[in-house]
Parts: sequence; structure tokens; C-alpha cells
Amino acid sequence: MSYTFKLKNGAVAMFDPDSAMLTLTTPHGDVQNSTLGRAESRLLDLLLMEPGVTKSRDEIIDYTWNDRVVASGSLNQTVFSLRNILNDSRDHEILMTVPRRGYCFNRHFVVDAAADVPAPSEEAVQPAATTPGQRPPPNGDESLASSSKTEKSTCITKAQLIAYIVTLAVVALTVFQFDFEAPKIEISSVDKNGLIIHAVGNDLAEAQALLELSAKQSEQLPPTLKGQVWINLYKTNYSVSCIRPDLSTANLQLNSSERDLAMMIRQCLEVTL
Amino acid sequence: MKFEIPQAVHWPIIALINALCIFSFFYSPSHYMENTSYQTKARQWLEDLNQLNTEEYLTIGHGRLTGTTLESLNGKIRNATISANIIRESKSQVQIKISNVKLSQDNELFAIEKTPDLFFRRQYVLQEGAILNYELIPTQNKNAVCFYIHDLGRLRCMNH
Repeated sequence: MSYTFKLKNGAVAMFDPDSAMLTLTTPHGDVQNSTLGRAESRLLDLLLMEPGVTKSRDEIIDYTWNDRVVASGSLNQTVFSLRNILNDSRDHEILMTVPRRGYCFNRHFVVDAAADVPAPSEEAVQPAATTPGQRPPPNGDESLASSSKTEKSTCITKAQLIAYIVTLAVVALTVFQFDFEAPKIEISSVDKNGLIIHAVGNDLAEAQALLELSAKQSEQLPPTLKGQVWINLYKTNYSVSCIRPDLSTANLQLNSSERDLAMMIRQCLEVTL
Repeated sequence: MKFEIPQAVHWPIIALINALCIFSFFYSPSHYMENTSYQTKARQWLEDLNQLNTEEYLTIGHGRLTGTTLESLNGKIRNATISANIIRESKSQVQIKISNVKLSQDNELFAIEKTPDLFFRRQYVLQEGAILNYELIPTQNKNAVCFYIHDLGRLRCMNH
């Protein structure tokens, strides 16, 4: 059984544990074949058997070097070497160190077997090389206890996490700025042949009631009366504000018991104040 | 089924959200035109059925609101100018804090003590530091602005 997984540069890797062959297919279609060393191959095989599952150092050593006794540093060296091959030497996102527990293969890099993998090109077969200028860590550098790398259970990086938190704060500030807690009015409107009456209330029921009253009273108004009128009842006072057809405006205010609304609407739209 | 976003997509998402927020900060269309002087006339019937006529002017812009009212009653005239800082603003809401009040004379033109409600509202609005909440009402014409001042229960339409 072979395994398929992604690399961070977009290349797709196919690993055959039986032949220890690792085939890398770049996004451009170039193919690199390389045969892994026995230790790297066995390590990759073990981790890919259960991606996302942490394997302890003892478990890895037992599987990888089952036929001989090795020092702890050998595992560090093998991990280092495999990370170089997988171009994962810098941030260890693929072959992850789980502090004080072991190592695991990041399952987010594993490609579903059913996924479409680009076919390798027969022409461009080159040997894989480790990144030059990189030295293996001294023994114990990969020590699980002292490792500063944290387990990454998702694809999101630390920088992206911080960016999301900052973005969340920016969004909260924006919402706070543009939707601050303030009283709001409700408006109900009716268009009577060019005379548009808007009733303003503290809630929809209040606005609707005022609109019905206004519409009923305005039936006696001449049909030639045009314009926009806003009506509000505040305590015992009616306010009528209007925009006339000539785009001038007027505002009237009086006690609700003194005049009828129809007269106020007409005055607002016609009378020179 | 687990939904996963590819790592490369995170940065464009973050950039897009931030860009939208920044854009909305700088581009927030209002129901009024900035730095335009609006004016209107108003008439109020008093308790004694006298008519208090007013001419009102309003300018909003650069974080400031300035309103001037000239009221006349039986040949007597009085004017008041109110300056305020805009504390918060959205497309339909403007919250202001009165910073300065100038009156041509302290005495009212009518017996305001007969209308205690009007008296207290005027006391409030003429006090430096008072907060007023304007709600802008959409109109069909860009040359006119209508608003409701919640704290005073005052409805106004003005044109320029």
C-alpha cells in the first residue's frame, strides 16, 4: 500500500513503504524519485499508518530499528533527515513534534487516496536532495521535553491566528461604531395620489395607529395636494414636517386637542410661514 | 463532515474582512450632505394660541454640528446658536454633545412657564454637555434632510 500526501510547496508526494520509494510531483508536473534510507522509510511508514496519531519515541525506535539497539540520538537524526527530504525542516508542520509524547504525521497533509494526483512525467526524473547548508541538530535538540514547537491540530498558522484575533477586534470596533445603542423610530407610510404621508412612532404599532388616523383625516384633503409629510405625536403635541413639491420645507407643531391633522397637513404644504 | 479551509486562503480572507472594515470607516454615506447649510421655517402654536415662528439653520460636517434658531413673536426677535461635537455617527444616527450655547437674550419671548414641558426641554438643550440623539429619516430628495431628535421629541425637515 502506498501513501499520498502534500508538501508545503504544493508538491504531491507518493510513498511506497515496500520499495522505500518517495516520488515527489511538483505543481509544474516535474517528478523527483528518491529511495529513502531504511530508517527514514520505516519512520515514515509508521507515522503514515495512522496520520494524526502520536507515536512515542519507544514505539518508533521499536518499529524503525526492530533488529538492533540504537541510541536516542539516532531517532533525532532520522527525524531531521526525513524533515529535510519533506522540506519541513523549518517549522515542522508535516512531521510534528508532540512535546513530551512523541511524533505524529499531520493528517491535514495526507491526500485522500481517491483524490486526483497528477501523473508523474517520465522525462523529468531527478534525485531528491536535502536542503544544503543545514546541519543536523545535536543530540537532544529534538528532545521532546525541551521542544518549543507546539502541536498543530489545524492548518492555521500562529501568525494567521493572531491576524484573525486582530480582525475580530476590528470587526467588533466597526460594528460598535456603526450600530451603537441608540433609540430608534419606526415609520409607516402611505401614498395617496402623490401625497405621501409618513407616520413616525416609537414602535411600529404606534406608527401604524398614527398613520391610520392621518390617512382617515386626510381623505377630506383636495387630490391636488402633493408632497411628503411626516407626522409625529409626542406627548400631547403633534408635529408635522413636510417637503413641498418645490422642495422647500415647513414644520408645524401644536397641541393635539386644538386642530385636526388634515388642516395641519394642508397648512404645512401650502401656507407660507 | 469537517469543513477545512486551505492555509493559503486564510490571508485573503483576513485581508478582505479588514479591507471591508476600513472601507466602511471612511465611506459611510449619510442621509445628509456634509458642510451644507440646511434651513427651514417652523410654526408652533402656544397655549395662548399665539404663533411662535422660527427660522432654523443647520450645518453638519467635520465632526461638528451647528444649529441656529431665530424665533419671533409679536414683533420681538430672539436667536440662539448651538454648537456641538458629533460623538458617534452611523448612516441614520448622529449623537452629539452640546459644547457651546449663545443666546441673544436670556429672556424668553413668551410665558414659557405655562408650558413646563417645553421649558424643561429648552433647559436641557441649552446646557453645555447635553447629549442629543438625532435619527435621520430617508427622503426622496437629496436636497432635503428630515430628522427626529429623540431627546426632544422634535421632528424637522430642512432644505438647502
